[in-house]
Amino acid sequence: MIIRLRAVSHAYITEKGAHQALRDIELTARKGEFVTLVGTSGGGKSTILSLIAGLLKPTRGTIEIGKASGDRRAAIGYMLQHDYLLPWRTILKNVLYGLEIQKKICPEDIGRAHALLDEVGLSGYARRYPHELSGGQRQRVSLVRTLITDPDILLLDEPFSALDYTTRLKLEDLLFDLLHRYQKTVLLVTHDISEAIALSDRIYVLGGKPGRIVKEIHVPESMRPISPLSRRRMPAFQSIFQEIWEVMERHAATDTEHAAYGT
Amino acid sequence: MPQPTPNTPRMAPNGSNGSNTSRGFNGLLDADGSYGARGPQATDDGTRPKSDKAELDLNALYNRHRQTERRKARHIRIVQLLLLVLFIVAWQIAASRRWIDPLLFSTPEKVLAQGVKLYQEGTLIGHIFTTVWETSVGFISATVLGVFLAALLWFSPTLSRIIDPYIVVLNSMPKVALGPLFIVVFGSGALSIIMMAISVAVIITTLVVYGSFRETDKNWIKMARTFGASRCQLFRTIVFPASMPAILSALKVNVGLAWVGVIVGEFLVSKRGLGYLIIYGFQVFNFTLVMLGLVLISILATLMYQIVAHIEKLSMRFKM
Ligand SMILES: Nc1ncnc2c1ncn2[C@@H]1O[C@H](COP(=O)(O)OP(=O)(O)O)[C@@H](O)[C@H]1O
Ligand SMILES: [Mg+2]
Repeated sequence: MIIRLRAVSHAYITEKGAHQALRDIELTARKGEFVTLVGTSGGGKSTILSLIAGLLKPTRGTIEIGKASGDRRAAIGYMLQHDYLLPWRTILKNVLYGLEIQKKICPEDIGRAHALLDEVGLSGYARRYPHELSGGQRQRVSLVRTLITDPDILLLDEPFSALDYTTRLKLEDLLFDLLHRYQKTVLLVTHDISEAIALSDRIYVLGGKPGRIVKEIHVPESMRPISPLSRRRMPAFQSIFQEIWEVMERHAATDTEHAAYGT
Repeated sequence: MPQPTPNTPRMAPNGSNGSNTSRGFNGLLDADGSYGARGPQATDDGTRPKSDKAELDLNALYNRHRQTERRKARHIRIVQLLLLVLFIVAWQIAASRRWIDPLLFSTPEKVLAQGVKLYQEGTLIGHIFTTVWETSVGFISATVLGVFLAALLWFSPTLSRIIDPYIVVLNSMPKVALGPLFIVVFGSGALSIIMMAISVAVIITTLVVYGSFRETDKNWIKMARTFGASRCQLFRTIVFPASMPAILSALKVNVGLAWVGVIVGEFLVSKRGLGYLIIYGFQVFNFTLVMLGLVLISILATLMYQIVAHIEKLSMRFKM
């Protein structure tokens, strides 16, 4: 296992009080696996990623990262919900940002940056500034910025949620292709059920308040090598969608019952 | 370390030669609604029928718009100039007709003559140079020092909370009241004058720049932390560049504040400079000299402000 969360709970403590976001999360990912966490917004998905990335410390429970000996930060790439490109840097300089933080840039890195930009269809954009790019292009730059640090594990926080539907479908295929080629372990977080089925090998459904894992679904072996766009047309796709939908509905319903009792 | 080696020829899933680098990885991006997949060089392909009457001539529309704008700008300039001329003429007439006391308010004619006389005596340039130099050193040092103090506060939030009330006190105090103290400590020379200029501008600069440091987008900081950035790296690569607009605008404000400090300073100690010219004119009851000082100060202060504003504009070519 390259990622293992054992009985992880997390509470946010603010001036207004303490608020539990996660309860007893059990989660694993094998090397090279594409795992997705699907849940409604405010369910604690981003919190789980921040915990794994080490930006937050779990209030209780343990988090193990496979590359225990090495540097955790170097082993994990974390792509946030929005691109957060720095407007005063060119695209090339934005791509190199993470590397620059982690080590000294060598000429070879600049070559790799150009090659990766080519690969996501952004050749010729290296000297542009972020405001000259569309949302989809910016998110691709953000992906390259994460990939170029060569992490073993990629944490993706709703990377496509801010994009329009057609751009999103294309980026899903691009991501799927890139990550399979480079054999990355991926933990993707999304509120979009069909995105989860289209991309992953395994799906966790996060539900309730505080958030906990309410279901684990294995995507059939036969589906896994197939690209996201084609998967959406398979008959099995609908049945998995239905299954997840029902689980999420059930937990949304229990929440309102709790609320009715004033908890 | 570089495990994914995109330098090696990649496997194109569609079996193409891979030389068409501007294409998406398997042609999917071609249909991308954005223009990314086509590459930036791709412009209008020229297939558009140029003689088509229904087609809008965008170039002509744009040129006409620019012409109108330029004409408007020129008209405004002319009116502004006319106002200035009108003011000078009115001043001259009012003084020569004795509507205002020419002994107190002088006349444009006499002011000009006084200026020429000082220039021929060879002292005018010296006065101007002294004041401009003191002001420049003053506003630049005040900005640098203010940014430095703001950085200190940013690096230690505890320190900033502790000294917060003292900064408020310092900020609300009229700094020129410190004048006599500066003379005692720094002597009655240029150093005191520069310190005066710095003291007028430094606290407000610190407050404004520190405020900007603190308001740096939390998401940029989170992004940097996902790569493991240290606090020092955060400051260097995110917080400081993100605050560049605030720093440059502080620089601009400080030009004006430094003039206040320098002129008051020259009132108190100097033997040279435009402030000295004014106070000397006042003492010997030569109000033409006082007026000359005022006119020169307004011209120079405006010039200096414009120069700094221009530098600000040059360095802000990217969009925030
Ligand atoms: N920094 C924070 N401080 C306090 N509460 C937070 C913070 N971040 C998230 N929360 C709360 O924790 C819960 C889970 O948030 P989050 O992990 O962002 O959910 P998701 O990513 O699934 O939308 C929400 O109720 C949210 O209000
Ligand atoms: Mg979130």
